[in-house]
Amino acid sequence: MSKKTKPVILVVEDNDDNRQLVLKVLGRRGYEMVGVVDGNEALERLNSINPDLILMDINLPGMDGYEVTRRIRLQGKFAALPIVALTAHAMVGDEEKSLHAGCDAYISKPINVRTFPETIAAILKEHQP
Amino acid sequence: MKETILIVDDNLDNVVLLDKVLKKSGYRTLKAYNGEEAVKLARQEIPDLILLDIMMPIMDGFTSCKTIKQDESTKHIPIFMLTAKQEVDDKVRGLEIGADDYITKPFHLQELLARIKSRLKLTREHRRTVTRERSQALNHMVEGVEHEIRNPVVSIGGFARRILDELPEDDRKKKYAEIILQETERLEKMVKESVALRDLSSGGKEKLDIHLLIDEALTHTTNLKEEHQVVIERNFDHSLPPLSLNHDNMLIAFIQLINNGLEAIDNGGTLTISTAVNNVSNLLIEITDNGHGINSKDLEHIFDPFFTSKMSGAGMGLPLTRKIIGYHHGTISVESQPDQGTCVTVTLPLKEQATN
Repeated sequence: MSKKTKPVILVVEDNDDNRQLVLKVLGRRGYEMVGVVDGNEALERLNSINPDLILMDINLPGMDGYEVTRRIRLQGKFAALPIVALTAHAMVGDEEKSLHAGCDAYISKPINVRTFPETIAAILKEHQP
Repeated sequence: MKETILIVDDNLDNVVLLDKVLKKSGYRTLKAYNGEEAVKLARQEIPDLILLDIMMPIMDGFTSCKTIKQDESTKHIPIFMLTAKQEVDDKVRGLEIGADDYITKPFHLQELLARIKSRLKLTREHRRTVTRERSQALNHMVEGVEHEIRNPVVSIGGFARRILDELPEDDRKKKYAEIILQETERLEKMVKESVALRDLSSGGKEKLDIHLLIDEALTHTTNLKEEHQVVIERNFDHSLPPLSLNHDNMLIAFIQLINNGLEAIDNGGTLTISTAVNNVSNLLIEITDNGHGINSKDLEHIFDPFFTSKMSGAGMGLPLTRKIIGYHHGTISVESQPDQGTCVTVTLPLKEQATN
Protein backbone atom coordinates (compact mmCIF):
# COMPACT_ATOMS: atom_id res chain seq x y z
CA MET A 1 0.00 0.00 0.00
CA SER A 2 1.52 3.24 -1.10
CA LYS A 3 -1.27 5.28 0.42
CA LYS A 4 -0.72 6.39 3.97
CA THR A 5 -4.39 6.90 4.77
CA LYS A 6 -7.02 4.21 5.00
CA PRO A 7 -8.86 3.37 1.80
CA VAL A 8 -12.30 4.98 1.75
CA ILE A 9 -15.29 2.87 0.70
CA LEU A 10 -18.65 4.38 -0.17
CA VAL A 11 -21.68 2.14 0.28
CA VAL A 12 -24.81 3.08 -1.65
CA GLU A 13 -27.62 0.95 -0.25
CA ASP A 14 -31.15 1.85 0.79
CA ASN A 15 -31.77 -1.22 2.96
CA ASP A 16 -30.68 -0.45 6.51
CA ASP A 17 -29.80 -4.01 7.50
CA ASN A 18 -27.65 -4.57 4.44
CA ARG A 19 -25.92 -1.22 4.65
CA GLN A 20 -25.13 -1.56 8.36
CA LEU A 21 -23.75 -5.05 7.85
CA VAL A 22 -21.45 -3.96 5.02
CA LEU A 23 -20.28 -0.93 7.03
CA LYS A 24 -19.57 -3.11 10.05
CA VAL A 25 -17.82 -5.95 8.26
CA LEU A 26 -15.53 -3.74 6.22
CA GLY A 27 -15.10 -1.19 9.01
CA ARG A 28 -13.44 -3.90 11.06
CA ARG A 29 -10.96 -4.53 8.30
CA GLY A 30 -9.64 -1.03 8.71
CA TYR A 31 -11.36 0.75 5.86
CA GLU A 32 -12.96 4.11 6.30
CA MET A 33 -16.62 3.56 5.59
CA VAL A 34 -19.30 5.97 4.41
CA GLY A 35 -22.88 4.91 3.83
CA VAL A 36 -25.55 6.69 1.81
CA VAL A 37 -29.13 5.64 1.10
CA ASP A 38 -29.74 6.61 -2.52
CA GLY A 39 -28.18 7.68 -5.82
CA ASN A 40 -28.81 11.39 -5.35
CA GLU A 41 -26.99 11.46 -2.05
CA ALA A 42 -24.15 9.45 -3.56
CA LEU A 43 -23.74 11.87 -6.46
CA GLU A 44 -24.01 14.93 -4.25
CA ARG A 45 -21.38 13.79 -1.78
CA LEU A 46 -19.11 11.95 -4.19
CA ASN A 47 -16.52 14.70 -4.48
CA SER A 48 -16.23 15.38 -0.78
CA ILE A 49 -16.04 11.67 0.09
CA ASN A 50 -13.59 10.95 -2.71
CA PRO A 51 -13.82 7.14 -2.29
CA ASP A 52 -11.33 4.47 -3.34
CA LEU A 53 -14.14 2.06 -4.08
CA ILE A 54 -17.92 2.16 -4.33
CA LEU A 55 -20.33 -0.62 -3.41
CA MET A 56 -23.46 0.07 -5.41
CA ASP A 57 -26.82 -1.50 -4.73
CA ILE A 58 -28.63 -1.85 -8.04
CA ASN A 59 -32.19 -1.83 -6.82
CA LEU A 60 -32.26 1.69 -5.36
CA PRO A 61 -35.35 3.86 -4.94
CA GLY A 62 -35.62 6.47 -7.71
CA MET A 63 -32.49 6.31 -9.81
CA ASP A 64 -31.23 2.73 -10.01
CA GLY A 65 -27.63 1.69 -9.44
CA TYR A 66 -26.91 1.32 -13.14
CA GLU A 67 -27.90 4.91 -13.74
CA VAL A 68 -25.90 6.18 -10.76
CA THR A 69 -22.86 4.29 -12.06
CA ARG A 70 -23.26 5.80 -15.52
CA ARG A 71 -23.42 9.30 -14.08
CA ILE A 72 -20.35 8.71 -11.92
CA ARG A 73 -18.44 7.49 -14.95
CA LEU A 74 -19.32 10.68 -16.81
CA GLN A 75 -17.22 12.62 -14.31
CA GLY A 76 -13.71 12.21 -15.65
CA LYS A 77 -12.18 12.14 -12.20
CA PHE A 78 -13.96 8.88 -11.34
CA ALA A 79 -13.68 7.16 -14.70
CA ALA A 80 -11.35 4.51 -13.27
CA LEU A 81 -12.80 4.26 -9.76
CA PRO A 82 -13.70 0.65 -8.95
CA ILE A 83 -17.46 0.27 -8.60
CA VAL A 84 -18.85 -3.05 -7.38
CA ALA A 85 -22.50 -3.80 -8.10
CA LEU A 86 -24.59 -5.44 -5.40
CA THR A 87 -27.68 -7.21 -6.66
CA ALA A 88 -30.32 -9.14 -4.84
CA HIS A 89 -30.70 -11.95 -7.33
CA ALA A 90 -27.83 -13.81 -8.82
CA MET A 91 -29.36 -14.11 -12.23
CA VAL A 92 -27.91 -14.77 -15.62
CA GLY A 93 -27.69 -11.42 -17.33
CA ASP A 94 -27.34 -9.26 -14.23
CA GLU A 95 -23.61 -9.47 -14.36
CA GLU A 96 -23.57 -8.50 -18.02
CA LYS A 97 -25.92 -5.63 -17.32
CA SER A 98 -23.86 -4.25 -14.46
CA LEU A 99 -20.59 -4.53 -16.36
CA HIS A 100 -22.23 -2.80 -19.28
CA ALA A 101 -23.29 0.05 -17.03
CA GLY A 102 -19.68 0.57 -16.02
CA CYS A 103 -19.30 -1.54 -12.90
CA ASP A 104 -16.01 -3.41 -12.44
CA ALA A 105 -17.33 -6.35 -10.50
CA TYR A 106 -20.47 -7.82 -9.23
CA ILE A 107 -21.45 -9.39 -5.89
CA SER A 108 -24.80 -10.98 -5.21
CA LYS A 109 -26.70 -10.13 -2.05
CA PRO A 110 -27.09 -10.99 0.71
CA ILE A 111 -23.36 -10.82 1.23
CA ASN A 112 -21.43 -13.60 2.93
CA VAL A 113 -19.45 -11.96 5.73
CA ARG A 114 -16.82 -14.65 5.55
CA THR A 115 -15.85 -14.18 1.91
CA PHE A 116 -16.94 -10.59 1.29
CA PRO A 117 -13.95 -8.77 2.83
CA GLU A 118 -11.48 -10.88 0.83
CA THR A 119 -13.33 -10.14 -2.38
CA ILE A 120 -13.24 -6.42 -1.67
CA ALA A 121 -9.57 -6.51 -0.71
CA ALA A 122 -8.77 -8.31 -3.97
CA ILE A 123 -10.67 -5.76 -6.05
CA LEU A 124 -8.94 -2.87 -4.29
CA LYS A 125 -5.56 -4.45 -4.84
CA GLU A 126 -6.32 -4.97 -8.51
CA HIS A 127 -7.16 -1.30 -8.90
CA GLN A 128 -4.18 0.08 -7.08
CA PRO A 129 -2.48 2.78 -9.10
CA MET B 1 -31.91 -43.58 27.44
CA LYS B 2 -33.13 -46.67 29.25
CA GLU B 3 -34.15 -49.64 27.18
CA THR B 4 -37.69 -50.87 27.69
CA ILE B 5 -38.71 -54.48 28.21
CA LEU B 6 -42.29 -55.66 28.07
CA ILE B 7 -43.03 -58.52 30.48
CA VAL B 8 -46.03 -60.66 29.55
CA ASP B 9 -47.19 -63.38 31.93
CA ASP B 10 -50.49 -64.26 33.58
CA ASN B 11 -48.61 -65.43 36.64
CA LEU B 12 -48.39 -62.40 38.87
CA ASP B 13 -45.45 -63.76 40.87
CA ASN B 14 -43.39 -64.20 37.73
CA VAL B 15 -44.18 -60.68 36.56
CA VAL B 16 -43.24 -59.19 39.91
CA LEU B 17 -39.97 -61.11 40.02
CA LEU B 18 -38.96 -60.23 36.46
CA ASP B 19 -39.98 -56.63 36.99
CA LYS B 20 -37.80 -56.35 40.05
CA VAL B 21 -34.77 -58.01 38.48
CA LEU B 22 -34.99 -56.05 35.22
CA LYS B 23 -35.44 -52.72 36.96
CA LYS B 24 -32.44 -53.47 39.11
CA SER B 25 -30.42 -54.12 35.96
CA GLY B 26 -31.29 -50.68 34.67
CA TYR B 27 -34.16 -51.37 32.28
CA ARG B 28 -37.52 -49.70 32.09
CA THR B 29 -40.35 -52.24 32.27
CA LEU B 30 -43.90 -52.59 31.01
CA LYS B 31 -46.27 -55.25 32.23
CA ALA B 32 -49.07 -57.19 30.54
CA TYR B 33 -51.05 -60.15 31.89
CA ASN B 34 -52.42 -61.65 28.70
CA GLY B 35 -51.64 -61.76 24.99
CA GLU B 36 -54.14 -59.12 24.02
CA GLU B 37 -52.70 -56.56 26.41
CA ALA B 38 -49.24 -57.46 25.15
CA VAL B 39 -50.12 -56.69 21.54
CA LYS B 40 -51.73 -53.41 22.55
CA LEU B 41 -48.79 -52.29 24.67
CA ALA B 42 -46.27 -53.33 22.04
CA ARG B 43 -47.99 -51.12 19.47
CA GLN B 44 -48.30 -48.22 21.86
CA GLU B 45 -44.87 -48.22 23.43
CA ILE B 46 -42.64 -50.06 20.94
CA PRO B 47 -40.51 -51.70 23.64
CA ASP B 48 -36.96 -52.84 22.88
CA LEU B 49 -37.68 -56.45 23.82
CA ILE B 50 -40.63 -58.64 24.85
CA LEU B 51 -40.62 -61.53 27.32
CA LEU B 52 -43.68 -63.55 26.37
CA ASP B 53 -45.27 -66.41 28.29
CA ILE B 54 -47.06 -69.04 26.20
CA MET B 55 -49.92 -70.27 28.35
CA MET B 56 -52.15 -67.29 29.01
CA PRO B 57 -55.90 -66.59 29.07
CA ILE B 58 -57.74 -64.52 26.40
CA MET B 59 -54.88 -64.69 23.90
CA ASP B 60 -51.98 -67.11 24.25
CA GLY B 61 -48.32 -66.36 23.60
CA PHE B 62 -48.22 -67.96 20.16
CA THR B 63 -51.09 -65.88 18.85
CA SER B 64 -49.78 -62.62 20.25
CA CYS B 65 -46.26 -63.37 19.00
CA LYS B 66 -47.70 -63.96 15.53
CA THR B 67 -49.73 -60.75 15.70
CA ILE B 68 -46.78 -58.67 16.83
CA LYS B 69 -44.53 -60.16 14.15
CA GLN B 70 -47.08 -59.44 11.43
CA ASP B 71 -47.53 -55.80 12.36
CA GLU B 72 -45.20 -53.46 10.42
CA SER B 73 -44.73 -51.22 13.43
CA THR B 74 -43.82 -53.97 15.90
CA LYS B 75 -42.28 -56.79 13.85
CA HIS B 76 -38.73 -55.67 14.56
CA ILE B 77 -39.10 -56.08 18.35
CA PRO B 78 -37.23 -59.17 19.57
CA ILE B 79 -39.48 -61.65 21.41
CA PHE B 80 -38.26 -64.20 23.95
CA MET B 81 -40.79 -66.95 24.56
CA LEU B 82 -41.04 -68.22 28.12
CA THR B 83 -41.82 -71.93 27.90
CA ALA B 84 -43.07 -73.65 30.99
CA LYS B 85 -41.80 -77.10 30.20
CA GLN B 86 -38.90 -78.58 28.35
CA GLU B 87 -41.17 -79.18 25.43
CA VAL B 88 -39.33 -79.24 22.14
CA ASP B 89 -42.58 -78.77 20.24
CA ASP B 90 -43.27 -75.47 21.93
CA LYS B 91 -39.80 -74.18 21.26
CA VAL B 92 -39.94 -75.14 17.61
CA ARG B 93 -43.38 -73.69 17.19
CA GLY B 94 -42.35 -70.47 18.89
CA LEU B 95 -39.31 -70.03 16.67
CA GLU B 96 -41.37 -70.89 13.61
CA ILE B 97 -43.86 -68.13 14.19
CA GLY B 98 -41.14 -65.57 14.63
CA ALA B 99 -39.94 -65.64 18.25
CA ASP B 100 -36.28 -64.73 18.47
CA ASP B 101 -35.31 -66.86 21.43
CA TYR B 102 -36.86 -68.98 24.15
CA ILE B 103 -36.25 -69.30 27.86
CA THR B 104 -37.25 -72.37 29.78
CA LYS B 105 -39.06 -71.92 33.06
CA PRO B 106 -38.02 -72.03 35.79
CA PHE B 107 -35.32 -69.83 34.38
CA HIS B 108 -31.90 -69.03 35.61
CA LEU B 109 -31.89 -65.25 36.21
CA GLN B 110 -28.27 -64.68 35.28
CA GLU B 111 -28.75 -66.53 32.04
CA LEU B 112 -31.90 -64.58 31.22
CA LEU B 113 -30.17 -61.27 31.88
CA ALA B 114 -27.16 -62.28 29.81
CA ARG B 115 -29.35 -63.25 26.87
CA ILE B 116 -31.34 -60.02 27.10
CA LYS B 117 -28.13 -58.02 27.25
CA SER B 118 -26.60 -59.68 24.24
CA ARG B 119 -29.79 -59.34 22.22
CA LEU B 120 -30.13 -55.64 22.99
CA LYS B 121 -26.50 -55.12 22.09
CA LEU B 122 -27.23 -56.67 18.73
CA THR B 123 -30.16 -54.30 18.26
CA ARG B 124 -28.01 -51.31 19.07
CA GLU B 125 -25.33 -52.39 16.66
CA HIS B 126 -27.92 -52.99 13.99
CA ARG B 127 -29.34 -49.55 14.60
CA ARG B 128 -25.92 -48.00 14.29
CA THR B 129 -25.36 -49.78 11.00
CA VAL B 130 -28.72 -48.65 9.73
CA THR B 131 -27.99 -45.07 10.76
CA ARG B 132 -24.64 -45.21 9.06
CA GLU B 133 -26.13 -46.66 5.90
CA ARG B 134 -28.86 -44.07 5.98
CA SER B 135 -26.43 -41.23 6.27
CA GLN B 136 -24.40 -42.69 3.43
CA ALA B 137 -27.56 -42.91 1.37
CA LEU B 138 -28.34 -39.33 2.33
CA ASN B 139 -24.91 -38.25 1.18
CA HIS B 140 -25.40 -39.93 -2.17
CA MET B 141 -28.83 -38.43 -2.53
CA VAL B 142 -27.61 -34.99 -1.58
CA GLU B 143 -24.80 -35.16 -4.09
CA GLY B 144 -27.30 -36.07 -6.77
CA VAL B 145 -29.62 -33.31 -5.65
CA GLU B 146 -26.82 -30.82 -5.60
CA HIS B 147 -25.68 -31.52 -9.14
CA GLU B 148 -28.85 -32.48 -10.88
CA ILE B 149 -31.37 -30.16 -9.25
CA ARG B 150 -29.55 -27.01 -8.31
CA ASN B 151 -28.45 -26.07 -11.80
CA PRO B 152 -31.83 -26.45 -13.51
CA VAL B 153 -33.49 -24.69 -10.57
CA VAL B 154 -31.17 -21.73 -10.90
CA SER B 155 -31.86 -21.38 -14.61
CA ILE B 156 -35.62 -21.83 -14.17
CA GLY B 157 -35.50 -19.04 -11.61
CA GLY B 158 -33.31 -16.88 -13.82
CA PHE B 159 -35.60 -17.13 -16.80
CA ALA B 160 -38.72 -16.64 -14.70
CA ARG B 161 -37.17 -13.41 -13.49
CA ARG B 162 -36.49 -12.38 -17.06
CA ILE B 163 -40.08 -13.02 -18.01
CA LEU B 164 -41.16 -11.06 -14.96
CA ASP B 165 -38.94 -8.13 -15.93
CA GLU B 166 -40.09 -8.08 -19.52
CA LEU B 167 -43.83 -8.34 -18.94
CA PRO B 168 -45.72 -5.04 -18.72
CA GLU B 169 -46.70 -3.97 -15.20
CA ASP B 170 -50.41 -4.79 -15.58
CA ASP B 171 -49.95 -8.20 -17.20
CA ARG B 172 -51.80 -10.99 -15.43
CA LYS B 173 -49.08 -13.45 -16.37
CA LYS B 174 -46.70 -11.59 -14.06
CA LYS B 175 -48.26 -13.42 -11.18
CA TYR B 176 -47.47 -16.79 -12.74
CA ALA B 177 -43.85 -15.85 -13.19
CA GLU B 178 -43.73 -14.70 -9.58
CA ILE B 179 -45.06 -18.04 -8.41
CA ILE B 180 -42.44 -19.90 -10.46
CA LEU B 181 -39.80 -17.71 -8.89
CA GLN B 182 -41.05 -18.28 -5.35
CA GLU B 183 -41.18 -22.02 -5.84
CA THR B 184 -37.67 -22.17 -7.25
CA GLU B 185 -36.45 -20.20 -4.25
CA ARG B 186 -38.05 -22.80 -2.02
CA LEU B 187 -36.35 -25.59 -3.90
CA GLU B 188 -33.03 -23.81 -3.69
CA LYS B 189 -33.49 -23.42 0.04
CA MET B 190 -34.16 -27.14 0.40
CA VAL B 191 -31.09 -28.05 -1.61
CA LYS B 192 -29.06 -25.71 0.57
CA GLU B 193 -30.43 -27.28 3.73
CA SER B 194 -29.73 -30.82 2.66
CA VAL B 195 -26.21 -29.91 1.60
CA ALA B 196 -25.73 -28.27 4.98
CA LEU B 197 -27.00 -31.38 6.74
CA ARG B 198 -24.43 -33.48 4.94
CA ASP B 199 -21.54 -31.08 5.37
CA LEU B 200 -22.23 -30.56 9.04
CA SER B 201 -19.47 -32.75 10.33
CA SER B 202 -16.89 -31.82 7.73
CA GLY B 203 -17.16 -28.05 7.93
CA GLY B 204 -14.35 -26.18 9.63
CA LYS B 205 -14.75 -23.59 12.34
CA GLU B 206 -13.29 -20.15 12.71
CA LYS B 207 -13.50 -17.32 15.21
CA LEU B 208 -16.59 -15.27 14.52
CA ASP B 209 -18.50 -12.48 16.17
CA ILE B 210 -21.94 -13.88 16.85
CA HIS B 211 -23.50 -10.42 16.43
CA LEU B 212 -22.11 -10.04 12.96
CA LEU B 213 -23.53 -13.45 12.14
CA ILE B 214 -26.97 -12.45 13.45
CA ASP B 215 -26.80 -9.23 11.45
CA GLU B 216 -25.87 -11.25 8.39
CA ALA B 217 -28.78 -13.60 8.98
CA LEU B 218 -31.10 -10.60 9.24
CA THR B 219 -30.12 -9.44 5.77
CA HIS B 220 -31.43 -12.78 4.47
CA THR B 221 -34.82 -12.24 6.05
CA THR B 222 -35.61 -8.73 4.83
CA ASN B 223 -38.54 -9.72 2.61
CA LEU B 224 -40.35 -11.61 5.32
CA LYS B 225 -39.71 -8.84 7.82
CA GLU B 226 -41.34 -6.31 5.54
CA GLU B 227 -44.18 -8.62 4.58
CA HIS B 228 -45.12 -9.23 8.22
CA GLN B 229 -44.30 -5.66 9.29
CA VAL B 230 -41.92 -6.66 12.02
CA VAL B 231 -39.63 -4.39 14.00
CA ILE B 232 -36.33 -5.99 14.97
CA GLU B 233 -34.89 -5.14 18.36
CA ARG B 234 -31.30 -5.97 19.11
CA ASN B 235 -30.18 -6.37 22.70
CA PHE B 236 -26.57 -7.26 22.15
CA ASP B 237 -23.92 -7.65 24.81
CA HIS B 238 -20.99 -6.37 22.79
CA SER B 239 -18.43 -7.42 25.36
CA LEU B 240 -18.76 -11.04 24.23
CA PRO B 241 -15.64 -12.63 22.79
CA PRO B 242 -15.66 -14.18 19.31
CA LEU B 243 -16.77 -17.82 19.15
CA SER B 244 -15.43 -20.71 17.19
CA LEU B 245 -18.20 -21.39 14.68
CA ASN B 246 -18.85 -22.88 11.30
CA HIS B 247 -20.01 -19.79 9.48
CA ASP B 248 -22.18 -21.27 6.75
CA ASN B 249 -24.00 -23.70 9.01
CA MET B 250 -24.60 -21.25 11.82
CA LEU B 251 -25.89 -18.75 9.31
CA ILE B 252 -28.48 -21.27 8.11
CA ALA B 253 -29.47 -21.96 11.72
CA PHE B 254 -30.04 -18.30 12.56
CA ILE B 255 -31.84 -17.55 9.31
CA GLN B 256 -34.17 -20.41 10.19
CA LEU B 257 -34.81 -19.19 13.73
CA ILE B 258 -35.38 -15.60 12.63
CA ASN B 259 -37.67 -16.69 9.80
CA ASN B 260 -39.73 -18.78 12.19
CA GLY B 261 -40.16 -15.79 14.48
CA LEU B 262 -41.12 -13.52 11.60
CA GLU B 263 -43.61 -16.03 10.24
CA ALA B 264 -45.31 -16.28 13.61
CA ILE B 265 -46.08 -12.57 13.57
CA ASP B 266 -49.21 -12.06 11.53
CA ASN B 267 -49.58 -8.37 11.17
CA GLY B 268 -47.05 -6.12 12.83
CA GLY B 269 -45.02 -7.08 15.88
CA THR B 270 -41.59 -7.18 17.39
CA LEU B 271 -38.81 -9.72 17.17
CA THR B 272 -36.23 -9.28 19.89
CA ILE B 273 -32.78 -10.81 19.65
CA SER B 274 -30.71 -10.72 22.83
CA THR B 275 -27.25 -11.99 23.63
CA ALA B 276 -25.73 -12.40 27.08
CA VAL B 277 -23.38 -14.54 29.11
CA ASN B 278 -25.56 -16.72 31.31
CA ASN B 279 -22.75 -18.03 33.46
CA VAL B 280 -19.02 -18.38 33.14
CA SER B 281 -19.03 -20.81 30.28
CA ASN B 282 -22.10 -20.23 28.13
CA LEU B 283 -23.30 -17.66 25.68
CA LEU B 284 -27.06 -17.22 25.66
CA ILE B 285 -28.96 -16.06 22.60
CA GLU B 286 -32.69 -15.44 22.86
CA ILE B 287 -34.96 -14.88 19.90
CA THR B 288 -38.37 -13.76 21.07
CA ASP B 289 -41.41 -12.92 18.98
CA ASN B 290 -44.83 -11.70 20.04
CA GLY B 291 -46.59 -13.70 17.36
CA HIS B 292 -49.25 -16.38 17.45
CA GLY B 293 -47.26 -18.91 19.48
CA ILE B 294 -47.23 -22.69 19.27
CA ASN B 295 -49.75 -24.96 20.98
CA SER B 296 -48.37 -27.50 23.40
CA LYS B 297 -49.23 -30.44 21.14
CA ASP B 298 -47.20 -29.06 18.23
CA LEU B 299 -44.42 -27.93 20.54
CA GLU B 300 -43.50 -31.55 21.24
CA HIS B 301 -42.90 -32.21 17.56
CA ILE B 302 -41.21 -29.11 16.24
CA PHE B 303 -37.81 -30.79 16.14
CA ASP B 304 -39.11 -33.87 14.32
CA PRO B 305 -38.01 -34.06 10.69
CA PHE B 306 -40.81 -33.40 8.20
CA PHE B 307 -43.11 -32.02 10.87
CA THR B 308 -44.61 -28.74 9.82
CA SER B 309 -47.70 -26.74 10.70
CA LYS B 310 -47.16 -24.37 7.82
CA MET B 311 -48.68 -24.63 4.38
CA SER B 312 -45.26 -24.54 2.81
CA GLY B 313 -41.89 -25.86 3.84
CA ALA B 314 -40.48 -29.33 4.09
CA GLY B 315 -40.17 -29.43 7.88
CA MET B 316 -36.40 -29.77 7.71
CA GLY B 317 -35.51 -26.40 9.17
CA LEU B 318 -35.67 -26.93 12.91
CA PRO B 319 -34.21 -30.45 12.98
CA LEU B 320 -31.33 -29.10 10.94
CA THR B 321 -30.98 -26.09 13.22
CA ARG B 322 -30.81 -28.32 16.26
CA LYS B 323 -28.22 -30.48 14.58
CA ILE B 324 -26.09 -27.50 13.70
CA ILE B 325 -26.26 -26.15 17.24
CA GLY B 326 -25.53 -29.61 18.63
CA TYR B 327 -22.49 -29.79 16.39
CA HIS B 328 -21.28 -26.64 18.12
CA HIS B 329 -21.88 -28.29 21.51
CA GLY B 330 -24.76 -25.95 22.17
CA THR B 331 -28.39 -26.44 23.11
CA ILE B 332 -31.67 -25.09 21.81
CA SER B 333 -34.98 -24.91 23.62
CA VAL B 334 -38.33 -23.40 22.78
CA GLU B 335 -40.96 -21.96 25.07
CA SER B 336 -44.25 -20.78 23.73
CA GLN B 337 -47.67 -19.51 24.75
CA PRO B 338 -50.44 -19.53 22.14
CA ASP B 339 -51.34 -15.93 21.18
CA GLN B 340 -48.51 -14.59 23.36
CA GLY B 341 -45.43 -15.49 21.44
CA THR B 342 -42.44 -17.79 21.34
CA CYS B 343 -38.99 -17.60 22.85
CA VAL B 344 -36.17 -19.67 21.39
CA THR B 345 -33.09 -19.97 23.57
CA VAL B 346 -29.77 -21.04 22.12
CA THR B 347 -26.75 -21.61 24.30
CA LEU B 348 -23.24 -21.98 22.95
CA PRO B 349 -20.10 -22.73 24.92
CA LEU B 350 -17.77 -19.74 25.09
CA LYS B 351 -14.72 -21.97 25.11
CA GLU B 352 -14.01 -24.16 22.16
CA GLN B 353 -14.56 -27.84 22.79
CA ALA B 354 -12.80 -30.69 21.18
CA THR B 355 -14.77 -32.06 18.27
CA ASN B 356 -14.80 -35.74 17.67
